Amino acid sequence: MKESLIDAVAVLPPTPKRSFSPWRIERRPDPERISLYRISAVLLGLAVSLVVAPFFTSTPPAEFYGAIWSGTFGSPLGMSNVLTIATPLILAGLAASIPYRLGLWNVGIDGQMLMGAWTATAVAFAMPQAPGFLMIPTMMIAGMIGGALWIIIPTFARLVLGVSEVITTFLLNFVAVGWVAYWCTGPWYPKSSAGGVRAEPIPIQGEIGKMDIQGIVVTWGILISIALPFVFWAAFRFTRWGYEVTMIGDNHRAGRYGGMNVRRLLVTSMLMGGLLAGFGGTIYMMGTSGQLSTSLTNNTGFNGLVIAVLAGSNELAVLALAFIYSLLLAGGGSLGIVGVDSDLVFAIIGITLIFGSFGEAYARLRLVRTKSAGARSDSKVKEAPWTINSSH
Amino acid sequence: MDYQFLALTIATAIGISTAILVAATGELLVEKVGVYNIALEGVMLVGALTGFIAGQTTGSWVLGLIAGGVAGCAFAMVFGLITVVLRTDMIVVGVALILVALGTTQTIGSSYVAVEAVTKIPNADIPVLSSLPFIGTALFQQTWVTYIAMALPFVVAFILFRTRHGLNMRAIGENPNAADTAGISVIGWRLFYVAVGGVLAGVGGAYITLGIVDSWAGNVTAGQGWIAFAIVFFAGWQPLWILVGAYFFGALSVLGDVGQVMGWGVPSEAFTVLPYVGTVAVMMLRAWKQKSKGAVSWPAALGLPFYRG
Repeated sequence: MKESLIDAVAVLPPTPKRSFSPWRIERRPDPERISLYRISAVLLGLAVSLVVAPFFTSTPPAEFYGAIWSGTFGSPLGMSNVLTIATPLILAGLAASIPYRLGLWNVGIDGQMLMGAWTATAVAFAMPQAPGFLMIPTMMIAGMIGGALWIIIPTFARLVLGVSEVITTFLLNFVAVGWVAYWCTGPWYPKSSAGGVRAEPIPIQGEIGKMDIQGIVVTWGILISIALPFVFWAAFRFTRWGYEVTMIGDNHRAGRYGGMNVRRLLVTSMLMGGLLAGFGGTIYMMGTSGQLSTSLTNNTGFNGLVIAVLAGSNELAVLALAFIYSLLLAGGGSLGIVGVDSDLVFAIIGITLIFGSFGEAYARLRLVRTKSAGARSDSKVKEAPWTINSSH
Repeated sequence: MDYQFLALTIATAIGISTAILVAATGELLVEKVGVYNIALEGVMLVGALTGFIAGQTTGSWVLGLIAGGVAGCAFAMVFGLITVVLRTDMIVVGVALILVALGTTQTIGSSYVAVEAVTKIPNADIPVLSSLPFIGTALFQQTWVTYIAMALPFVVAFILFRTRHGLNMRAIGENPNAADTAGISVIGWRLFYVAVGGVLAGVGGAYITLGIVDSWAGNVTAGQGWIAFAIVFFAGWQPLWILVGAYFFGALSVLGDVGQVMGWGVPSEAFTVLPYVGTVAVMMLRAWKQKSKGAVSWPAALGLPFYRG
């Protein structure tokens, strides 16, 4: 917030004014266990919306829940779906979570995923005869670079020009969709089109292999996705970079006094976000879809952002929430069998998130009576000399 | 390209920009008091479905637009109550509400898909002006809503920069603590303008189903809410630039189609992408120019929750 003379006016004793309500919301001085309240509220919201949801449809509740069960834990196919959805979702969650530690928003994960997948596809088409052991790693690295490149402009705009990264990362999503649409309808137009805006499939040796664990079929990309949250969890505890990011996330100024290069850390965490997103898009394209398409990400990026915020700077919580989220998406997808629009699951997720906001608000805020004389102005006048420059 | 075709192209561009223009003007008001309603796309979607259903049931497009506005207002108020009163994060709540809007409108609207609208917003030719050779066809054979939408940014500019009410609004967006000290209820004003923005976005949404595509389909807004959101940034929070931005972006989407028909050889994606590239570029350019002056073009308290003291 701009600091100016006019801020000083705000600490003068407030003029008496009429108040509509005897209650006022203010911050708790020492908010505790915010994540706990938030996650509990999310789980409560999930339970409530799952109980209420069948009544918005014409499907009997037993069939409704039966479909969700068989679409998740209830069948090997369901479980395969859950893990397939989780593979890019965990990476998207990390892609948002790491910049978020420094107070930066990566709202452009979908675009970075698409650009990562695009770059990987371009590499695959450039070396169609290459053997798999060469093509797969090259595509993965290309995908990471593509994702990271897509976040460079917002990072530059934020750090050099002060333009909010929220809007720039976000708008570049649409540019990525347009870019991919151009390549899918133009140069990479598939030889046999099967509807949708899809590119020619990548060479077969570029696809990631699948594992079969008692009928649960999933690419080994899931192993990387599950391992990475642990890697970052350890990195934030045991490496210098992780320590500095954690430190500065708590307090920018303290870190700068401690001799840390804040700017370098902001850049690396943003690039790390783009890199992970690009990798997520690539791994999904190489393992599951087998071809580039505009609907490749299917809002995975937004879902990842939401997971990161709910998880609150904890990579293992990202992993857990991404799994729960995948259960919901897979379960919701199977609702089509019993004649329910599978988009209903979006409403369930949305309501769950709103519950999470309530939980967070409850942890941070409290209701105070304003009619009790003096409680407000006394403390304010006393604190005035120290609060004059604090910006919230 | 002959003149008649050009005039019709301009007319189409203006017509389809109306929804974006109305929604963007509403979003400008919301952002001027320091709130950004990211759920704009969701609000428009809710307005679009409600307006369509109301139009089908009552057979009146006026009631359809009103219903769209009311529904948009109610939906935006959910956003307002959670972010403004409970001070939670606008991005997360916005994303959540977009998901809610997508899910519920798809579910509720499934029986209205591919149903033809029984009522449609009629064109209203302005008596003398519409018979002018080129300009008449291009500008003065629109719907009433379009004419009102054109005037809206001027009204907003007048309120913002020429009235005490507008001064208060800007104070809330720039320095809510100072406004609070001056006796303005920051929370109350913010809620009020979130509601106003919701009405306008809802009407904009209803205009899409009743005035442009004349039917309902899932996700019928197709990103128009996002474009409206981007236009506010493109316009640098200046009402009259909203007008420019909305018609410019509207023209681009028409040019994409025209280019295909005329065989310009420019991929249509170039036109769909330009609004977003343009917005990012304009924001960066403006920030670069203002950097030396130390000023920012956005309301200084944009996106920050208000706490007294």
